[in-house]
This record gives sequence, C-alpha cells and structure tokens, in this order.
Amino acid sequence: MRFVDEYRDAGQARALAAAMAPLCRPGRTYKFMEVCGGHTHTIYKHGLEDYLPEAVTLIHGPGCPVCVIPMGRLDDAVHIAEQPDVIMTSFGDMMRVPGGRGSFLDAKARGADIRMVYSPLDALKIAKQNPRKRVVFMAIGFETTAPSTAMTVLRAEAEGIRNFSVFCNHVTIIPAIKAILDSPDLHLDGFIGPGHVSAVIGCRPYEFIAHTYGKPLVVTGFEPLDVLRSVHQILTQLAHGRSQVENQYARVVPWNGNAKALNAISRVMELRPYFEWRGLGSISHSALKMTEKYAAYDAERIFHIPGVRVADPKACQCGEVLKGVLKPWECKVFGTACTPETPIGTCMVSSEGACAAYYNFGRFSRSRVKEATGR
Amino acid sequence: MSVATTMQLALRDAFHRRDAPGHALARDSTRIAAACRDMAGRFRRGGKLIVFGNGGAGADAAHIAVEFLHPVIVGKRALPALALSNDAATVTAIGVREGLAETFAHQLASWAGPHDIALGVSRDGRCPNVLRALRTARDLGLLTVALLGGTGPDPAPDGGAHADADHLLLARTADPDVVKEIHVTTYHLLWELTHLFLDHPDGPADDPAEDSAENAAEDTTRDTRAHPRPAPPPEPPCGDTCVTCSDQATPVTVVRLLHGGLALADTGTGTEEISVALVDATVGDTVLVHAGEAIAVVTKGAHHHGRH
Repeated sequence: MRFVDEYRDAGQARALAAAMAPLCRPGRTYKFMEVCGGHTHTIYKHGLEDYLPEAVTLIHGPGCPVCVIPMGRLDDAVHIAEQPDVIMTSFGDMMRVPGGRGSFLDAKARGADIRMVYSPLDALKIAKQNPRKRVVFMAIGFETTAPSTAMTVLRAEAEGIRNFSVFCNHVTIIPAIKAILDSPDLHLDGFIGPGHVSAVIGCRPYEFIAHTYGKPLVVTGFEPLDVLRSVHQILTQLAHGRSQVENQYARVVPWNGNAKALNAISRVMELRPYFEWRGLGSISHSALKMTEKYAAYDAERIFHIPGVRVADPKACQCGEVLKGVLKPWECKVFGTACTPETPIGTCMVSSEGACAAYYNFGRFSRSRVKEATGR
Repeated sequence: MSVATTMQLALRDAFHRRDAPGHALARDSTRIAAACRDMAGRFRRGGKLIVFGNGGAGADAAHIAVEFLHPVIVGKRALPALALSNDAATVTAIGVREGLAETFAHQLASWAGPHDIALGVSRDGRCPNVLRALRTARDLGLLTVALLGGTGPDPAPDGGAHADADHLLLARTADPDVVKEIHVTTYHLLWELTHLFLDHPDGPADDPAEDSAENAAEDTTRDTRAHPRPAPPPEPPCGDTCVTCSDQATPVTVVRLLHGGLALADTGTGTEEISVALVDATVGDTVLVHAGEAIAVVTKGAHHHGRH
C-alpha cells in the first residue's frame, strides 16, 4: 500500500539499527521521549525497542488526549449529558474512560442519551436531525482535532444551527512539553516530535526546545521506519554536539504548519489561563476554550457545570506514567486490577495510552524480559 | 409426466431453493466476520450474550445460548450466554400483563449491562418484541446483532431492525424453511469466528484490520525469509480505535469535491464524507484526515531529512 509498505521494510530497519550503534558514546545512556501516543502505539506494536541500541531508552510522553483528561472534567461532561433534552456526542474511546461517577457508558446505561461519533461533523448532523434536543459535542484532542471542532462550529454558525454546542477540552502540546522539560524528576536527551500535531502547528513552535533547553527534536511519522530514522537523526545530532529541530515527516508536515487550520482555531477558540492535566497538574495556557464571540456554542457557558476537582484513584499511577517517570509495568495495578477490559486509569483505556499499548503488544519486549530476569 | 420425473423435478427444486441463499451467505462473510470481531471484543470485556426469538427462532435462541455456554467442540472456553425465550414463566407473565411486544425488552432491561451483546432472531424480521428488545439493547449501549430473513434489502418495512442493529445478518430467501437452515449455519459461524477472534494470539480481538496489518508488518520488519505482502486496506475507524490522534486516522483519496468545503473520499473500504476546507486538495490527492477534517495533503517523495 502506498505510503505504508515503503516505511516497513525489514532490510532498511536492520541497516538503521546497525548505523545507530556507532553513534552512541560508550558508557552513556540516552533517554528520548516520544510525546505522541501514536508513536507509543507504533513502538510497541512493531517491537521497535528491540531494534534500538542498548543505551537508548524510549520514554512515553503525555500525548494521548484521552489519557490527560482529568476525572473532574469527565464528571462535568456526564453532568451535562444528564441534563434534560441533551444528546451528548463523543469519540468512541472516550466512552469507557472512568470518571468519579463512572464512564459515559455507565451514564448511558442510567438513561442519558450519549452517542458515539467519528467526527464533530456527525455531531452537527445529529443536531440537525433533532431540532428539539440540545446536542453537545465532547471535544478532546490536541491541535490535530481542534481544527475539526473549530470548523464545525463555524459551519453551525453559517447554517444557523442553534441547538449545537461544544464542551471544549482541547489541549495544546507545547506547554505540556515545557512542563516536562521543567520537571525535576526527569532528564531527557531528546524528543521524537509529534507528527500530526505538527501538520497543523508546524515545526517552528519547537525551536525553544533546541535553543533554550539544548535538546534535539525530530518531527516524526508513524510508520516503524519513520521512528527508527528519527531516533537515528537524534543520535546523529547528539554525536555531533548539535541540538536542532528537524522534520523527518516532511511528506506530511510543512515547516510552517497549516495556516488555514490555525486560523480556524483562533477564530473560535482562545487559550485558557490554566487547565488541569491528569498526572501533570495545572499547566498555564495549556488548553483552549471557546471565545466570547462563540459563547452561544459553548457548553460550559450554557450549562452550569460543577467543575469539581476529583482526585485520581489512589492505586493508579497514570501521572507517573504520563510524565515518563514510570514504565507502564512498574505501576502497582498494571495488568492485575487495571486492564483494558476494566481500566482504572486513562492510560489503559485508549489504544494509544502507554499502558494499553504495552499491555496489548509489549509484554514480551526486551525491557520486560530484562526486568523479569533481573539482568 | 411420470411419478419418477415429478420426483426428480421436486428434488431438483428443493436443492435449487437452497442454492442461491447459500451462496448469498458466503458473500456475506465480511459482515459475519465484522459481527464476530465486535462480539469477541465484548466477551473480552466481560460481556455476555443475550439471545431472543419467538417460536422456532426461540428454539434457535436456546441453541445459540448453549452453543456458546457449553460448546460441543472440546477445548473452546465457555462464554456466558442466555436465551430470554427459555424462561417461560417470565415471558408469559410479562406477556399477560404488558403484552407480547414487551416481553424481551423487559427482561433485557433487568439483565443487560453495557458490555453485553444482544442477538435477536426473527424469521421475517417483523416480530415486534424482537425489534423492541433490539432498540432497548441499543439504548443501553449493548452491541446489537439481528439475525433475520427475507428477500428485500430491508425485511422490516418499519425500518426497526436496520436502525437498531449494529450488525444485520440476513438469510436472503423468502422460504421459511431455508431461512431457518441458513440461520443455523450463520450462528454456527458466529460461534466459530468469535472464538477465532478471541483466540488469535497475535493481537487484540477488537480490530481484525489492525491485527492483520500487524502480521504484515512483522513479515516485513522481522522475518528475513518472508516476502513483504501488501497490507490490507485500512478500515474506517471503528469503535475501539482512537480517532483523535492515532495514525489510524487514515490517509484517504479525494474522489469528488462537494459544496461547502466538503468532499467524498475513498477510504479503501468505501467512501466517506470529509471536510477539505482547511487544505488545498483536488480530486486524486491523498489527504490525512483527523476527526473528519483533512489537515494535510500527503505529498509523495519528500520523506528524507527535512530542513531545520
């Protein structure tokens, strides 16, 4: 298949693996963070860790939008869903995320009208078909999905649809990366930069990572060879004492991003002063809300939401996993009390969550074997 | 016409009537597999199978339940299943007081959890209690499967089963006997394939596309002897796939531009309406779609080291 086969070639993968070894300085270890959950998924699915030099460890970052939503926000969403005449619409993987009062599916079983959609456009269609209902779209995601939400609001405005609103939980990637860089318990040597987020925001916003923090970042695609090439590029930079932003994923990501998409976002949304992330705490200017001008489409303004902060379950260590401090299997409940069938924390829910990806694909990887045999 | 000839004709006709529906069933294999994939996903999450039907279909319901719960083939694990029609006392009690149409829906509301599977069997797709129960099941978040019979595209003119079944499986014939026979084959397949998806060791039961894609990838990145085989076309994002950020948010090809910044796109398994308002895409372009919105045009050949 075009754009897939050429990025899964075994011979090239081995050649890359061989080329990486001499780039590692003897006695030094390297920790790279893949920010995006899509990369975590690729890494475990294809067993890429086994291709890397022993000295290289990949740390899984906070880039799964489902995983970083705190329980309190979900409870707010359930509260909205349970208001009279409301149809709540949500992406499928949000349905099973447990909140303080259960998940969307539990609320649905209690009688709330919650429907799964593949895009906000589908939610808008439901609004058109149900003019007497108030249709709310549970908007989540990084800059990849924010344009879709923004365009849908603009379409609703253009078509004069008044019974549609957005519960906006969009987050932005840069402040999260900055929070991780500033976090004292983690020392990283480089970043595998998110691919599709960068298709929207471009590569420029990452430059402070290279210039101020002195860490290489390579914007990376999602096929196995993409990830291996990008690790090779990061190691090359480090071997030559450079720290730069590079674009390995140029077939999709323009250096300056997608101006139309950014424009659509900024017409409809603005930065929140702060937003709470699961595991990372409150990060300033790290999320988006609807602007005053689009207040009529803002579920937060339309419905009175409790906005109560809910502590994460005690046993769950999603926070440490999201920050990359713990590997998934080091969590106390991983694979025992917490499984994809009965998730306790968010990382186990979405297929992009580090724990779910690891549970599904990575149980026999090199690092796991090492850990199990104590070597 | 001699008696022998009449016999021969009757025999030929009897076999002939089974021919087309049998072939139609074979052509529906993808549908059946899709249903089984989702059923396996539900069983994995601790769900149970709830089956219901009237008369002969009620007997089918009992057969299906025992098939899953106590398989005749040794070595397959028992899967939780129950047939609502088995409980004569409850069915007749509800029937007497609430009316026949309420029977299964009433029982479902008490039995079912959101991870369960509802399987309704109806020879002609017109049984009001089966249709009502499918709707209740759907409202409760269950996976809904309808096993119906008939010749038209939609055997239930009121549209009930079409609207409320996640998976609609049809015995494509008007002959009631043949419907029954096709149904037996279909639910034996349901049992067999569900176990196949459950047992498949190499990947999650939830997504066969991902599963096979994974195998293909293993061939090309791990096994030196294997020739790379083409990966199957991507499936449109299904229930358990993350659509927000994952690379599964597939590259698709623009087929036709529509007004209002919309376009029809070929996903490899069908066409889907997407928005192309944020990209400069023309017919034939491959675009990357997130949540229904194309965010980038995938250009070819520029995959080496980028600028910095």
